[in-house]
Amino acid sequence: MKGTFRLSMQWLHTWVGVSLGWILFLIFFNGTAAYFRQEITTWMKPEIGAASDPAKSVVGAVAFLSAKAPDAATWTISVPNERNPVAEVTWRPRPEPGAPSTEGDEDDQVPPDRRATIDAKGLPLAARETEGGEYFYQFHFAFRYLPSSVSMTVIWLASLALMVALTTGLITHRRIFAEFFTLRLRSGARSWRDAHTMFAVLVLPFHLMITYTGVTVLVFFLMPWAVFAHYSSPQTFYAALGSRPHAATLGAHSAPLVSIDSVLKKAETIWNGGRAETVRIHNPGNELATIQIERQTHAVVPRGVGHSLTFNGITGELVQTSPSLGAAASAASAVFNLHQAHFAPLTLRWLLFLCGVAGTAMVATGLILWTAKRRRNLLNSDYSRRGFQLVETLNMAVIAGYPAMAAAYFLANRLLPLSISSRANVEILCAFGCWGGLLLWSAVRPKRNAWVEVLSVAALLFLALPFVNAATTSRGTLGSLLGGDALYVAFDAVALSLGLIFAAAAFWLRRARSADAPTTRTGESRAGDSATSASAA
Amino acid sequence: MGPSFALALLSFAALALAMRGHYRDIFTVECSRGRGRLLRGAGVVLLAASFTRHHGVADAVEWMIAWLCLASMAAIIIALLLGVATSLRARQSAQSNGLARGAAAPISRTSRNS
Repeated sequence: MKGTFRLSMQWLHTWVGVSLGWILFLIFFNGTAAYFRQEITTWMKPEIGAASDPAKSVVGAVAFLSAKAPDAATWTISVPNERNPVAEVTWRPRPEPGAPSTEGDEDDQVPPDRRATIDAKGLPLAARETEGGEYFYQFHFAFRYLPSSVSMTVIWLASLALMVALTTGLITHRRIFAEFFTLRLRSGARSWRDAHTMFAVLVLPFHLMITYTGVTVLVFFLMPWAVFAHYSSPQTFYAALGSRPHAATLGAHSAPLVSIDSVLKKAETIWNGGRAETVRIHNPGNELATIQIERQTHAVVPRGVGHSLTFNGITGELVQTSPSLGAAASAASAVFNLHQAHFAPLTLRWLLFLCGVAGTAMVATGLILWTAKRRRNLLNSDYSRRGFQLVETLNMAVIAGYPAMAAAYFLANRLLPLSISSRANVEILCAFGCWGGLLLWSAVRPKRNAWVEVLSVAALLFLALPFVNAATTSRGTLGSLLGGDALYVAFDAVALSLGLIFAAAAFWLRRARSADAPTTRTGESRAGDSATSASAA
Repeated sequence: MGPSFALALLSFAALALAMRGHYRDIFTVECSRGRGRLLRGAGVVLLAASFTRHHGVADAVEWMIAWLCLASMAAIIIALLLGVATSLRARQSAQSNGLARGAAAPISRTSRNS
């Protein structure tokens, strides 16, 4: 304990924040980008054209799958909607006798050789190989190149740390109402504290919601004993959770599939005009084939019966209607939906995205505040600089370096040759290479210069994006603006905004450093101090 | 959601100015008790009006989430604007103080000489 309860909480807030702050920054950044993962994927596949007729695409998808994987156990077709203009299909092979079923696996875990994109005409689309927005989504809860158990444990610890940091931060902040709108610029560490408080307190409902649901989403990973006690394997549990029926045993005879178009129309009639989101066909081409259609929903908790309809795959008769969710399933569904914003229409998605940006800024300003408060200690010869420099280096590499990495990922998508093998992996390797380089740069360069340089790199990469996009595709900013292509216009606008923010930060830091240089006697510490106050300004 | 966002902006502006420190920073005069009360009342009414204008969003849960998000964004915008305005005002007054000191210097020298 540190004398008083409040001081103890302050100590906890500081050290929990600084020890897991970089992980939290990555979680927030990736999670915020993942709000638009579908849109990012569409942008990263510029071959995808205008929105297509959903029914036509699904008919085309079934025709494609009939030729490509006639003996598969399950075909899964995501129906085009306002966020995704094309149909995405995956298929699962029938498991070998004795081999474990893959039925409970998520669709995003299907390898690339069992995926395809179907265009507006119902034909397979030759889009470039990329992970698109899935990269951000996956990195939000499982770090790349690390075993999933390790990364999920770290993510879970970070989520709990955020919960602790939010609670202790509220206890620590004595003048929460008196300083509700306070932002004192050009005041060094005080400015960083104000900014940190502003991004935390004013967006508190979002932070509490996203942290609580984030911890809850991982509950089956953290407390798996209930699953082990009641199900033979986690896959069986997840299949039951997703109300996906297991593929029925194969019948002796083959039989042609009913027209998918008529089944879709039947489902829409039952839903009073509701739209289908996913079509799953089990045992295609067999007499025991079934077609399961899930409804597209814009509600936090799907209400009523029939969210999922199952039809006989040969006759097209309705054979099963999913019951309305019970209390526990409704609560679980609400938690998942709130965290993933699956229900959110475009405007709300943008609002959640901006709240995510505020969360990312909250973590970033908290990390910078740690160094800003301790910078004056550098003047004391007894103060150990090693810890300070480590935090400063990681701050640079993560706060400025990771966004630069994201920009490098998008640039690699546009600049890498289309014909190279494992293109999706190479894109990500390029991005990680950029990040590694910036980390190294932050470590070896004098700190007074490194901030300006890493921020400048991030600014240049983001500012280059719209130009590189215009040069390498036929969907530049002006053309998209004239053609009413909102996705491309929004992407360019966000890239330019981020580029300008990073450029402004680099400019201010550089100006403050130049202004400070003639009077600097103690080198890094003074320059860094001015850098801190200039950034706050 | 546009009108609701505009109302939230106005509401937070009124609530911020109802605070004596912010009022003094912006208008360089003290906020009277009556004016503070009026601004606070207007802020609360505008915030309530912002919450009740949920045209186009049928689902109550969705609207609650959307409103909390847009109110948060409105509050951040007001805090940023207030911070910039206070900083500009402080710089302005520092400059005018400097000018006043500069103008006063020859006079004081003259008076000392005499």
